[in-house]
Amino acid sequence: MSCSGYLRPVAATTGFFLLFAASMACADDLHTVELLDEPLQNLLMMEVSSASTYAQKMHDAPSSAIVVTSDDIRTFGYRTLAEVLASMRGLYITNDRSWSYVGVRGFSRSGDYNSRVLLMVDGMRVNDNVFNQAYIGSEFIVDIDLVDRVEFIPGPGASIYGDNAFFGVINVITKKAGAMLGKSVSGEVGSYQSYKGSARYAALFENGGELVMSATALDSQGRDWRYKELGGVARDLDGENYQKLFAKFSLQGLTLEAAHIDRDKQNPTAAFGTVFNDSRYLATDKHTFISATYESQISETLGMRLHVNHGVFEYQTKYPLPTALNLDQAYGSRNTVDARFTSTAFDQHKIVGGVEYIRDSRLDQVNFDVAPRKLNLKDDQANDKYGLYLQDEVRLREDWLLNAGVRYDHYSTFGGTVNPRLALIYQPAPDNNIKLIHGRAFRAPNAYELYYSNNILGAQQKGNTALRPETITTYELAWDKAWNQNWQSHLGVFHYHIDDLISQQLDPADGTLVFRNVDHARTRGLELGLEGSLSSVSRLRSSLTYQDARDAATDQWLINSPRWLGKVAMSTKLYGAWQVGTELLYSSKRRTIAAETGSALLVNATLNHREWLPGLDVSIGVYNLFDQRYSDPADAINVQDTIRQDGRTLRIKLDYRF
Amino acid sequence: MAKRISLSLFGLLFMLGQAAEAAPIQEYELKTAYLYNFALFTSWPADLPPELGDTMAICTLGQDQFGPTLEQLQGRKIREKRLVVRRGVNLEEALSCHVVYIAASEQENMDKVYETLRNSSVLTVSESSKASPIKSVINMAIDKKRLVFEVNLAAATQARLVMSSKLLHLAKRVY
Repeated sequence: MSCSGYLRPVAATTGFFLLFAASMACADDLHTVELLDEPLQNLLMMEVSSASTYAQKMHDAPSSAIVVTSDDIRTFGYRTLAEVLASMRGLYITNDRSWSYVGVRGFSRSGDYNSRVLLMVDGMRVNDNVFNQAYIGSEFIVDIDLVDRVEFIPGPGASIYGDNAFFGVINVITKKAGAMLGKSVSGEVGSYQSYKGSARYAALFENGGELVMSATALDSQGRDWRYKELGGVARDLDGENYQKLFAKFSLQGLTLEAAHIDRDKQNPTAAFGTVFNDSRYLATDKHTFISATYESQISETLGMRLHVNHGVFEYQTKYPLPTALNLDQAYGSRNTVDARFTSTAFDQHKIVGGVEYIRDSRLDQVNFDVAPRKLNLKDDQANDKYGLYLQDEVRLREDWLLNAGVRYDHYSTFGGTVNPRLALIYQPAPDNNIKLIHGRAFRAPNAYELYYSNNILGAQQKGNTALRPETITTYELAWDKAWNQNWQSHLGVFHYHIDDLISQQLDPADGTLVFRNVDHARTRGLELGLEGSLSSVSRLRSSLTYQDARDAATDQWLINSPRWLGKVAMSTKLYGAWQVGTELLYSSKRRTIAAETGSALLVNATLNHREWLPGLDVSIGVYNLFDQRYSDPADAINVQDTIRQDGRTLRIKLDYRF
Repeated sequence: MAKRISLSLFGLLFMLGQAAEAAPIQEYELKTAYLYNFALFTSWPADLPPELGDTMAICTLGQDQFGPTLEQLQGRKIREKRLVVRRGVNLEEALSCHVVYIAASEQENMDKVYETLRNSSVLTVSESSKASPIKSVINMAIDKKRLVFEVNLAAATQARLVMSSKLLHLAKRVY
């Protein structure tokens, strides 16, 4: 949702990129495709690395990463990135009928932008540059069918990634050409007249080049919602449509990647004192990025990655106010250059160092009434920032690993900030890891908090260029163990302190609302995870999280913070090649501004069959199978105290490969 | 211990990056490529059951560790047949596959697996570094950091599979 106080819901704007991809637990490059074309006699000569290098990487990472693969996306019928995240240990999603917000460690303040996680596509930052928000619902820039896997790396990631890697980093890795060769199309039909179609093309060239292209469009009518606080039913006001484009080409270490989304979403909630049942209430986000990445192994022990990225983020919401139609707009443009080096020149050390420069060449915000025409705000800004980082992974002994990293960021607005992370990892066996992690991260004040001033709706607000970054200091212990070939468990304990949270406050001097670094919070909790195979055709993935998030000054339980989250996902083969994926998502009650929401248990079930007919896959999903009535806490800008969420919906999807 | 250090060094090396050529090949990437080659150099009898149709099914039995690599085969063609990957099939489903990779998780039911698949035209592929003769048609093993394979010709004959001489030539052992 948007900001805390008045006008301006989130929006969007620029975005672009930061550092490299991979990092920590991330991205492994499959070169299976090249291997397939290699003669068998050559394969016999190749040196093979240990079986579990992928797992090994996870084990060595200074965090306990969670991964959802394209297989899981198909099995459980996830329609959006938000649904993928909702399936992950400890995460929960809130929706205000315009955008989706992810809660981590029991923290997801209603009214805040979704800016305390860093969202990356193939290692590139895609949070916009005006609101710094991660767009995770259907507003996510990449079609879910192009996703090879989603990695969530919980905990502070600022020591590598800088801004927004506050509670965690989401890295979405797109499919390689080899995984989707040729032409393919998908079509889906869902409840409330939702239609989605996409077409993809992927090719491998003789010179080793790889190409992926995709286009997607969705149109959804949306359902009617009864709001008793507003005295009626919002009819045909939850509609949505989007178009997404994606292209990626790589050749010999060079990768060019571009993506675009243009999304319109109606909002039925009559937020911001808009006229109820006015269909003009519409939010539009247009995001585009284009990037080039060059990776090279300079010597046996030195790797290099250079990256440039340009992002453009446009946002507009039309607010049908009682007095006038009000337009709130933002335009952001961001250019990023970064270089990262990885060295293994020193025995038992792996050193990663890098430098990143970001130029927010445009940070424009405009607000005006259409008729009678009145300009309420026109603010054009540009900022610079750079970051320097260094991380050393030291193998202290065969079974002890120390990962120490620090990043310095300098902003033209508030100056410098230093964010370290220290992880001590004990590995008594390759499949048994205990990690003690301490870190610090920051969230820089965004352009909205710094510069947005106007006085529409009778509520005056003003920007505050003296804002400092929010900070978080974390302590956590994670234990991941594989008990045998099939079963793995996770145990985690965390204690986080959050300081200088930016909230809107009344300035007694002039009676306007202003953002200040006023709030402090703490959150602590416990997580359990268990996953494994029930039989050769059934898999189980489950987790239970307890989290206690409070205001540090008043000790009050935070708004929108479920104490318990429980998740069970089970997949099994049924008759023939039919596979069923069933998911249970439980959230205990959450505090709202005025009261509490109830607890909710959602059950989703998806039936799928690959190669149902030659080249044709089919999937049938029922979401919220038992039509559980549940609501998310609303923002202060809503009349409602809670916003009701989707009941039972259905989706049928067909994928065809030519 | 030296081995473990070298393994972790490999891990580090790999993390080093995508860094393309320099990185060692992942075991299951290589195994994927081997499976592809096994299918490429094997001939199936002409009178296969009709459900096998014009696709070639590469299946895994049990909990395999291929990760996302195996799907790279999906859509490729061998002798005009489109490859289809089916993972975690059960024994009954395995009968309608061309190639069945038997994951280590099935180690305990191996006898039952071979009993069931022995007389069907399924190219069974196992992975075991044990010295004892194999019951599958092909067995893969890592030997001095190289992935090697051996072929059980008797099992191939029983399954009415014809292995190309090139494959037999490259096998570490044929019996």
